Amino acid sequence: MEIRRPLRPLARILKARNKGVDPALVEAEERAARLRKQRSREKRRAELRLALMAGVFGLAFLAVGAKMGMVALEEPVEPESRWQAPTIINQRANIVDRNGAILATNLLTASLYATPQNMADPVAAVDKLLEIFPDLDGPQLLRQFTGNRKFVWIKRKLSPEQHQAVLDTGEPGLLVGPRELRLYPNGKFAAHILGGTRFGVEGVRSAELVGTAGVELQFDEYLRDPANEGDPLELSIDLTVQSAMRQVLEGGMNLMNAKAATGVLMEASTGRIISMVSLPDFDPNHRPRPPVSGDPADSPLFNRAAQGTYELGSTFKIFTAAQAMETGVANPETMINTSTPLVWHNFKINDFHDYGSRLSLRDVIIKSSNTGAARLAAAMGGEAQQAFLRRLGLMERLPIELPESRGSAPILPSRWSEISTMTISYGQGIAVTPVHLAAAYATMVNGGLHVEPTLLNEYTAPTEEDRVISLQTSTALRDMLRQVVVGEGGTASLGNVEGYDVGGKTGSADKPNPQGAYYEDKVIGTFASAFPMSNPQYVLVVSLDEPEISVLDEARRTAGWTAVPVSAEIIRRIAPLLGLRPNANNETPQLPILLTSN
Amino acid sequence: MKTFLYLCAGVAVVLAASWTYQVNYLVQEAENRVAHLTRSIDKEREAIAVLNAEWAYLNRPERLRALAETYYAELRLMPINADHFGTVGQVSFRPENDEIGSAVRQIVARGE
Repeated sequence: MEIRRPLRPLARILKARNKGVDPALVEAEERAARLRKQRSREKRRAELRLALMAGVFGLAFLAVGAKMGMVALEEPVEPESRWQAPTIINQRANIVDRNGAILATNLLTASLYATPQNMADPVAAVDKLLEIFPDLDGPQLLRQFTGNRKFVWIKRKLSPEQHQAVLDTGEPGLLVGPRELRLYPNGKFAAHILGGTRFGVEGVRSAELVGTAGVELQFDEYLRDPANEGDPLELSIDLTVQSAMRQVLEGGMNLMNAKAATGVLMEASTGRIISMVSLPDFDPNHRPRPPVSGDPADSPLFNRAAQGTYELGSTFKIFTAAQAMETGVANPETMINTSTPLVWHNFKINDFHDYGSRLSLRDVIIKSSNTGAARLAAAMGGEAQQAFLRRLGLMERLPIELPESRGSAPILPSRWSEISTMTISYGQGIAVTPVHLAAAYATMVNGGLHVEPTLLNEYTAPTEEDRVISLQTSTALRDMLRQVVVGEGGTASLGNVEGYDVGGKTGSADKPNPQGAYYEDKVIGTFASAFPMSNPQYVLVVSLDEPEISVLDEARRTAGWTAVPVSAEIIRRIAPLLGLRPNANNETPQLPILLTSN
Repeated sequence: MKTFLYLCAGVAVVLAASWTYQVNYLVQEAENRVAHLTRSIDKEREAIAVLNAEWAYLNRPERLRALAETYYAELRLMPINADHFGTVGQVSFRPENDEIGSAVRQIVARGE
């Protein structure tokens, strides 16, 4: 502590008095000195505070700067989500059928690559690799290993045995990375619906799986979207039905010596496709490359059910009959002129047999008279026909969830002349896909509501706004279709299946040749059917390309001999699988005692 | 008084620091455990996916059909057809003198 100095120090006052100086001056001097001292003390303190502040701020800036430097220099690390459960389960979601059976899933396998700069002995490595993979190109591989390349892909997919064999070589330059593989466990089954995948951007740790066709391409974004948390894509397909249908159809195709075959099974009231088969098909696990030569429509990759458009022949007559009944032009008993041939300018329409001069509308359908249908359509006019076909969805491309069907717009006559109207009444001169036909037949038999064909399990039920024909017309059509199978002289007499009340309409359309005319001896035999006819639940369209069998030494090509028996066998196999009781609509209701469907 | 406050504050700082230190390590440990569990869940998921794929592969209709044909003598499995549907009338009634049934009847009789 500083000793306080008085303002009037006795020594200085006495001295001043002796000299005769005013002692007040001494006091003033002392006061001034004291003030000076105080000021300098205050100044020092203020300076210290400033320095302290500057120091604190300097340190803070230094800390911020240092953190920025560290952030800039450090390797970036992905922040871990600490409070969230892991949500990404699969890189690509599964595809399942309507019962949840897996149609497409992922499998973790390995991929093989090389880093030549790390290789101990490139020559030995190539030799060992050729032992494991005989399909590799040895000289090229050696060039890649000894050249300047730092990275070489060798194999995209390894089996576990191959994986082990590669590890056993002990070569440090050969490396194995994990790789997800798209697996279709059921093989060829439903190949055209599923389509296929390929690897997109490839990395060492993983590779993108990208859809290339079918629902894999259509729903690519959905399948890859992690927001779905691995929810599978549910199709309307039924695994067992599809498998049975493919087996029977393949057998039928071989038996009938057909070039190709198609089958579509649809729920009549909803438009959901339960089974869709196109033969020949392929294995989506090893999807072949698109053909570079020949007609792409002959390739196994071509979907004949939803991509290919064909003239489907007399199956169209039911639409002519429906239109006539709906507009009140005719009823099933109306007599129609069926004298053959029908000559129109320089065009001649023939019937398969001569059915006499007159047939009722019902018999025109049952016996399949071209001239009868043509005269009826001509009487109603082309515009009304177009409007009716448009409401059935036969004039627009298929609204199905397949990228392939974008090119499936029906082939229509460039000018809808009177002769077009007449030929289209029996299905020549208009080409649609078999799925188009199935959807239109669903409308015919389900009470008259238009349905949108779909491959998804979710659907929107048709409402009254989708009505195309009345319930009354639909009921009359059911009766006609049933009579085609069981009636006298019906064209589909081989189509009857005990207990399932099959009804349908045959169609044997001449195939167009490249010259623009029609082949004499090549047909597409189609049977469009529904069952059980008392309350149709399912529509089946079976189409055989160029079928030919010989019965009693006579070549038979018409649908009644080819597509119809195949359809009957398909219904015999799949109706019980669908849980349909034989004669389910008897007056005496019967209860099932066993779980008979899946 | 002032000194006492300073002392208290000092002790409080030390206590808080040591508590924070402890919690920090506990959290790190918990996080490690979470990461470990997440990894093992992922592994299990992967294994389940592989097993599901294998199950689907082994149950492909083509294989089941071949197996049903191979073991027809033992299993007598055939494609189901319309004849395989029955009626309630075809189910045989419960036998009259079954053990459980008669025991139940006895108990009911005694209860009266």
